[in-house]
Amino acid sequence: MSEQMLTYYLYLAAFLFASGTYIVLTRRSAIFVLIGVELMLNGANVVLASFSQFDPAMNGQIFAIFAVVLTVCEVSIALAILLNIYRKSRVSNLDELNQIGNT
Amino acid sequence: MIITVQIFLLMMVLAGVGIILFTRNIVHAAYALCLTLLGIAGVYVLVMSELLAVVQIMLYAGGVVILLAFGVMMTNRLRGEKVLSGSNNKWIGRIISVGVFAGLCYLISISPFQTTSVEKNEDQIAQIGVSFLTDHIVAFELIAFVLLVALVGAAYLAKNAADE
Repeated sequence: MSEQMLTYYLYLAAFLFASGTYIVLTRRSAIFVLIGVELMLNGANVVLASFSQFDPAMNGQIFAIFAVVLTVCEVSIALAILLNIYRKSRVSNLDELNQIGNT
Repeated sequence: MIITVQIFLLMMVLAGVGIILFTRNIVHAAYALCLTLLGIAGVYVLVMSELLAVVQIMLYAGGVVILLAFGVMMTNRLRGEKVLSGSNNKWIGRIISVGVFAGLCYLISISPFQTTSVEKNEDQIAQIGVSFLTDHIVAFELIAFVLLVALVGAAYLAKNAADE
């Protein structure tokens, strides 16, 4: 594994992060925004894993595993909240969501 | 040989991200996310993070994509038509994301990374398990607690939604 290959993986991670940013910023649907957040987190995980191969203690890989578990928690809670919002106000697009609570 | 695998995985990731970027159908985007995540799992294998690749396939490609499909089912009125979703702020999003990509690429290209060659670890999973319970014990216990809280919280929120 050379330095050249490492920079290729870092460019891939930058691409994933930028695509996730675009999706988070532009999409109206909340599910699409969650997909964009997944892409950004995967870009960060690719960076952690590709630097972890030069570390004998593999700290980057362990951090990436923790990040994956936290992401799964985040997605489940976010979908439960979205389900609540949809049941209460029949809204699934984020720009139509302009009030929360019992109104 | 390995360059073929790399090109294949790159095409998988790029195709998945491209479909997510250009489709308006949420279900198509969820399946394209599955393709992307499987490609990234292959990248993890190539950078010698086998356990992370297995975790990625099980949790992301197995769990998160199913969760997203359930979310599409529950939060849209399904009457047989396609689940489409538009976008807004397109030009601001393009400018910011291209700026982020250019900035990251510039930083990567000017950074002098010094790589050392580490010999391949044969029992990587055993070593990760040992370091979970020695060096990273606080993070390990905290993540167990967070998982419990997420389980109880998601069940509580979904119960409230079902009662309405």
